[in-house]
Amino acid sequence: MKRNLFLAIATLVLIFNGLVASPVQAYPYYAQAAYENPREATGRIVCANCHLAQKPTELELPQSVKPDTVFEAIVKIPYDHSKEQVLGDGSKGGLNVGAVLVLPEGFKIAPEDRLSEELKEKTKDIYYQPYSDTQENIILVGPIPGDEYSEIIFPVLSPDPSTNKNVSFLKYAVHVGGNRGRGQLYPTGAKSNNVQWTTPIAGTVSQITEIPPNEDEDTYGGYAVTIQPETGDAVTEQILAGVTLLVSEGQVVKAGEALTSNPNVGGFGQADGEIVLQDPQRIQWLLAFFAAITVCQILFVLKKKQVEKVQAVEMNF
Amino acid sequence: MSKVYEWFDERLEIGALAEDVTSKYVPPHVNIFYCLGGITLTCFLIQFATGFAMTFYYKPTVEEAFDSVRYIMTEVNFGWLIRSIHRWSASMMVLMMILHTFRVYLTGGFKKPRELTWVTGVILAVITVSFGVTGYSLPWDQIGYWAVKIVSGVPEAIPIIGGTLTELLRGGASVGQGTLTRYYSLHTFVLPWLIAVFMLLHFLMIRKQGISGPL
Repeated sequence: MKRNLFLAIATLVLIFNGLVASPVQAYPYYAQAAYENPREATGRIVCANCHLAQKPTELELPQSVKPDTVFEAIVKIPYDHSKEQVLGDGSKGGLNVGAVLVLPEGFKIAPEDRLSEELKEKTKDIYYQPYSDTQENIILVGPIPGDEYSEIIFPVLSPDPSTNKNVSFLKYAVHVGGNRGRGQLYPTGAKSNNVQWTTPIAGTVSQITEIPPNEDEDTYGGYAVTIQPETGDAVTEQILAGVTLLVSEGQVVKAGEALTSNPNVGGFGQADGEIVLQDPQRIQWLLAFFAAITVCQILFVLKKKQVEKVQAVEMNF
Repeated sequence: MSKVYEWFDERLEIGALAEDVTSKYVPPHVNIFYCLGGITLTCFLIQFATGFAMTFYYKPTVEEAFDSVRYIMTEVNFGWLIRSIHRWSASMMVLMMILHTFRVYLTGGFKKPRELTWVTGVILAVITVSFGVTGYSLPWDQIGYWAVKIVSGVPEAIPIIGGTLTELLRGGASVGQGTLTRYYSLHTFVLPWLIAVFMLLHFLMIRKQGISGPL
């Protein structure tokens, strides 16, 4: 009995650890857990709720695609690769990148056997994760090392309206969000250590204590900055490790003034694109139509030349 | 054949009409650029036919407009073709009209005695562009919505009457159902009648005065 209880607790702890560990592996998990659709009604992609800085992201798509064809959607996440960011433990390291690609319904990541050798080579180390079981058209990538993947290539398979009745030949909107670097907030609203701290009130910095790292609790230390206003209670700001303090004890600060430097070098950006799911038959008919027009015009010109010749020899019929 | 012809000719004098048409000769200075006006007319006829066809399915309400256009593009037989032709021909009509204006200007076709033809032509140009502006917003998609928002807000810059004018264009203080209704009515009723009247004047004057002379 006692042994069983022990086992049950051990299992629970293991599962719990697994749950906690998985978001650390992949930050898009936060979005997947909190939002059914990563694109809000306003058009904002939810990554922007935690990755607060705005940085450019570009999307490259073909103008049109044929049905049941593999094509590349390229997401460019440019940033200055010489910069390093603050990591969770306060040390410095390279930036990671990630992207979410919101394709029209019916579009999805191409299965491996449909990829060309070249495309296979370009995408071999990337794991494309559907946003959820029912949303194969929304794809997550990342976090992956930004130094290797400042351009993320998505191999996409277009749907075929002749087999999938839910799609038709039409122009569709494609949305993408691209991020570099760590976020500034956790889903709970708590700040990460990749953010600038400001003082909530005006007053004097009365005390700065360094908090040592605690391995058992998985914390990396930091500072506790106490600000004493002229009247009322003192406020203590817990600042996580990795940022540089800009204030010292005894300094007078205004409300909203920065307590630390801004360590964030990354940011999130989104872009929109359009893609036409084109029926090849329509193109053929259009070409045939143009050919018919051309022939028609040539015949008109020939007929006119003939009439002119007749007129030239004054043979009036 | 001849009996039918005689029956009509007795009542309507088709012979004279046919005589009138066949007796007009194209003067030698006329080149391919003199076709541009006719091409603009052809574009208009295409617009008229395809636009008429689309009124069968288009629903001018803010809730249904976009879905009805989508329905035309995906479900209606050859709806995609008809709407695509309407869209392309609209752009072509404006382009051909501009080129036609260039031709008339560069060959001096607007000079005495054809000043009135030029004036009706300018009015036709304004109507054509108005067709474009109103038609652009009818699908009520993102681009159409923001286009109407910006375009209908332009008169706001006019002192004193600007605000009233904007409200008149929008059918309310802001862009909404009133605006769509107004644009639909303009696009499918008011502007077609206006353009018909001015086209008739334009063509009657050309008929009366003949093609303009050489440079």
